[in-house]
Amino acid sequence: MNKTTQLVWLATFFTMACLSARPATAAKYKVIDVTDGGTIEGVVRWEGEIPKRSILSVTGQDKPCHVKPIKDEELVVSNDGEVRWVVVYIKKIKQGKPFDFDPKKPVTLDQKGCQFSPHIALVGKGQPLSILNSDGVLHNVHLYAKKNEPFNRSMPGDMKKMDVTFDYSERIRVGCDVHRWMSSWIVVAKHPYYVVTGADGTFRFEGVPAGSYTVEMWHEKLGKQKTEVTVTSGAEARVEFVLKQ
Amino acid sequence: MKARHGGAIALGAVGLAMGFTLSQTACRSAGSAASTASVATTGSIASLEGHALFMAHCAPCHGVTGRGNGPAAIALTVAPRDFLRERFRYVSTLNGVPTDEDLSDSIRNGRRFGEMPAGPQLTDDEVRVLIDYVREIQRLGWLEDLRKEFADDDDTSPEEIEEISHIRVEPRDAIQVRRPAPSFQRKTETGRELYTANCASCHGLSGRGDGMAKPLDEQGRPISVRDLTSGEFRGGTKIEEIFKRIRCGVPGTPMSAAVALSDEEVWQLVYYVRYLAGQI
Repeated sequence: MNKTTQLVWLATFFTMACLSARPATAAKYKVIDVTDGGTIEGVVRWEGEIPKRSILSVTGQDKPCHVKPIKDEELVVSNDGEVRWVVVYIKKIKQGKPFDFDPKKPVTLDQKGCQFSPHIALVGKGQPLSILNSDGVLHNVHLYAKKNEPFNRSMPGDMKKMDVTFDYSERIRVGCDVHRWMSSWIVVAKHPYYVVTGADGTFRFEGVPAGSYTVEMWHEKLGKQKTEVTVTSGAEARVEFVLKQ
Repeated sequence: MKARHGGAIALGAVGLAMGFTLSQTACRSAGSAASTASVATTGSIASLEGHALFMAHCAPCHGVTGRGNGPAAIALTVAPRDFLRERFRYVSTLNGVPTDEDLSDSIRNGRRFGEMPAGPQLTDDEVRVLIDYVREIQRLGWLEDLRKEFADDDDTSPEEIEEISHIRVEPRDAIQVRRPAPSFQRKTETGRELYTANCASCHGLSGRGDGMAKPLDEQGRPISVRDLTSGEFRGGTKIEEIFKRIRCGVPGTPMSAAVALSDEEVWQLVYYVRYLAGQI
């Protein structure tokens, strides 16, 4: 084998090896103009005795932590049996409406009364999130991210705002090591069909292109459930999830 | 004749494997991601040499696979680092990933006031190879974790998971640490105020590490808050090293990065810490 042939072989081999190592991309969400979409709405209900919310054990001398009792946000069920803080989303939706967030109006995650508020902050990929410190005492924002960059940053009392954005969709647990009872989640949505249930346990997706979908829910303590639903143009499809201990 | 052919085929196969590995490495440095099953089976020249060095110098404590479970670990009071599950602690970057210099410092000088011994017998090349090797172990830990967590995720392809695993072990540029003017090199009232606002919640007002109840690391294991009055800083006692611990935090622990403070403020904290340690 002469030198030229060797070089050609080497170049071919190198190119093939590079091509084989190049990352393929996942099927990405495609934004379309949804003109004849339908709606999915529903509720997350509780079955059985309504669980009582515990009062968290608060330590330390920081005054804002002792203004009022801090209730556990992990499992919140209304007297009528509706479950709060459940993330509901359409799974594997290929196309639909665009995110409608205003880049100038970030979602906020406040640290107030030594508690994160809201308990679950929902943001889109690339949407700004402002982490606030209304307490005026030292907190540390500890993000246990995996796809996005994990970090643990000090937020002293005089630092009122920290802006962050996320490149990847995931659920990120957030904690504060100074006040260990503080816990929340940042949910980075991959598309606009994500919602977090409020006190009445309801959720609603508008402008869903007609078709069959899997709607999935996630709760930090009770895990995931999913159900199938068919959306038709101009109509409302109903979904209900039932949780129990 | 047959034997000679067999030898040539074996040599060719080794050459092909080496060539493929080297080209994969070249591709990866160009921004792509290569797939590897385990550090020991990557087949790269560096990994094979790294594997031998790791077995000889690190595995007795850190374990054959780097999980911190070597035979000598049982005799240690501080568990050796599990490279697959834990983050490196002593960094000079703001993304919590050590630079080669950070890792070289740990390997060469050990961890003062800890149980990681110094490795002065290693050559520069050997340290370099070991750094690549432990980084690869840590990347595989991320890969395993990411695959488990996002197996059912429709937004992330396996190739992206692979790519993210590389990002997780890629250090950003080291922060600049410039010694302050001599007029700054003392304990100040501002330093005390900054300490009260930024450090006392965990380290205590007097610095004895008694400000926080039952601290845990990211694995949920109890750890102690450093008693600053002891003057024993595992990340190093030089002022530049204390500066880095304050600015970059200690990944994997409650010690957070003071990203909001100016360099001057961090220096004032450094000298207040030295004061608490009775060193100025």
